[in-house]
Amino acid sequence: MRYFRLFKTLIKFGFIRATAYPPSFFAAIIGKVLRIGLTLVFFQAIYLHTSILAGWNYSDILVLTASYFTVEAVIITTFHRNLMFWLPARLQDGSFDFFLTKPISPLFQTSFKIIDAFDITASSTSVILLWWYIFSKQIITPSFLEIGVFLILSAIAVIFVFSLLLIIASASFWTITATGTGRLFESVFRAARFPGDIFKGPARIALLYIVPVGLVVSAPADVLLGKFVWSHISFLIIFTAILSFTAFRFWNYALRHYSSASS
Amino acid sequence: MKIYWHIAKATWQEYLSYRLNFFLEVIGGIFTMLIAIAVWYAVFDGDGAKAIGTFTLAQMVTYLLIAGVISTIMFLTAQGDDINNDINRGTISALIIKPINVPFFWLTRDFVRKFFTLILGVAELSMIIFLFRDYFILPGSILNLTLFCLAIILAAILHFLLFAILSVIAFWFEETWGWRFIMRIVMEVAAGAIIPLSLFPGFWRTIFEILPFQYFIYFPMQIYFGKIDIGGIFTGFVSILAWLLILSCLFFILWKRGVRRYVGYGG
Repeated sequence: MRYFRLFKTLIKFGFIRATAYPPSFFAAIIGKVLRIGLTLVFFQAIYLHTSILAGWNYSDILVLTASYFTVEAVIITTFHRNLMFWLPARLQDGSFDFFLTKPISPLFQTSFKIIDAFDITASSTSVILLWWYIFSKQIITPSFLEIGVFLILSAIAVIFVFSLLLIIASASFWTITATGTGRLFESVFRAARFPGDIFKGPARIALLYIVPVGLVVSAPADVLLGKFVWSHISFLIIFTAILSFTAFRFWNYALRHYSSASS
Repeated sequence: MKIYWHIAKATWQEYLSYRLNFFLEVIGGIFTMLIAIAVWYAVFDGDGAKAIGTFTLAQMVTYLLIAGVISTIMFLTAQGDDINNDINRGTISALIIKPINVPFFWLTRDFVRKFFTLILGVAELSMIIFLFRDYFILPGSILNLTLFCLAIILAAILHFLLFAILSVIAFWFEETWGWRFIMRIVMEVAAGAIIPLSLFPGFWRTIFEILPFQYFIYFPMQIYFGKIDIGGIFTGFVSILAWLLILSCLFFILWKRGVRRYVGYGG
């Protein structure tokens, strides 16, 4: 409950910080909405030249796109930048030490200190509009069970990404590579926008089984489309469980070995 | 001119200390390029089509490989950050009192960044091109290659000017990230980085053809493949030069007015 209240306060701070420059704030919101719109234009262009993409038609892709942006909205609003960009910066300038002196979990502070108000406003609005379009056009008519499983799998996708980022972020206690790793992750995660089946050969093995970003979004989308691929779902659950266990252990290990950067 | 050579060398040294960051971003760009190739492979594979629009599979792979190289060099995330930060953090105060042309200083740094990224990515990109050698098509002729390179150089200046304009408005708005973000988003699609513009639906194609972003990738690639005649190439180059002239004028008007308005606090 205490952390929930704290989270609400951090959201408020996020808004205050972001709206300090109103023109840029509103421009960023337009940019975020455009980004989703142009992704759909991209798929429209693809489907102008083919009726099916690795077994997925345009309606299926709409569901996949909505699922991707739903998961992405949660990630980029909350912990993505905190772990990938702000943590290395804090380690560099020594301000991470303040996190250790407060009676709040350092992991909580590290992950949620800056909540992205641009994305709360823009991404959530765009995602809601996308889902509204999908349901109003009856592109899918899922049962409550399917919606429930979709939500659980989407939460697992968020935990998967959080764990992956936590491992990368923990490494910055030694490397302090700042923004590069974050940018690389953004590019890799973009693979989740597409059906996992488009990847062939070694790319398929890498993106579906070694770092299964090709599965994290397509598995929940599959469920909404009425396809329960149990092998994918169970693999994702087991993989995420192992990954999150490893991530927390690694974070604690990194924290124990942290020596302050400031004097 | 000598002074800018020294600025270029100093910038190069500065970027060397961030080489891992740049390298990781380059790898990210290559990864995006490979995803785009995988998507188009699936499109060709699905319908068993020999050509999509006017593009064969080999042409599409070549297009995406070269588009990937250009995007990796030009479309880094922090485009225009230097100018924006110099203005709103006040570091421009130290620049305007020096005997240098500040916009040319920024242009020099921008070109060093582009060149630095190219050097960092050369080995990886060559390896990827080697892996796809069966699909890689060489340019139509030496003349096509020369004009292609010339178009890329002009596009790099155009790219700098577009971001410089959106960054220099920091004299009025303090923070310009939002505007630059919009341009980055539109640019990635409208330049034809992941899909040639001719394959977009008519409405979008018309819009993208009005914007200057097509000169970053789509137009140079049309020259590379010899898909446009000499008249089309001439018109294209005239258009780039016209854009450069208009944007340069706009930039210098904003710059002059901005500097007049600028107040530097602190020591």
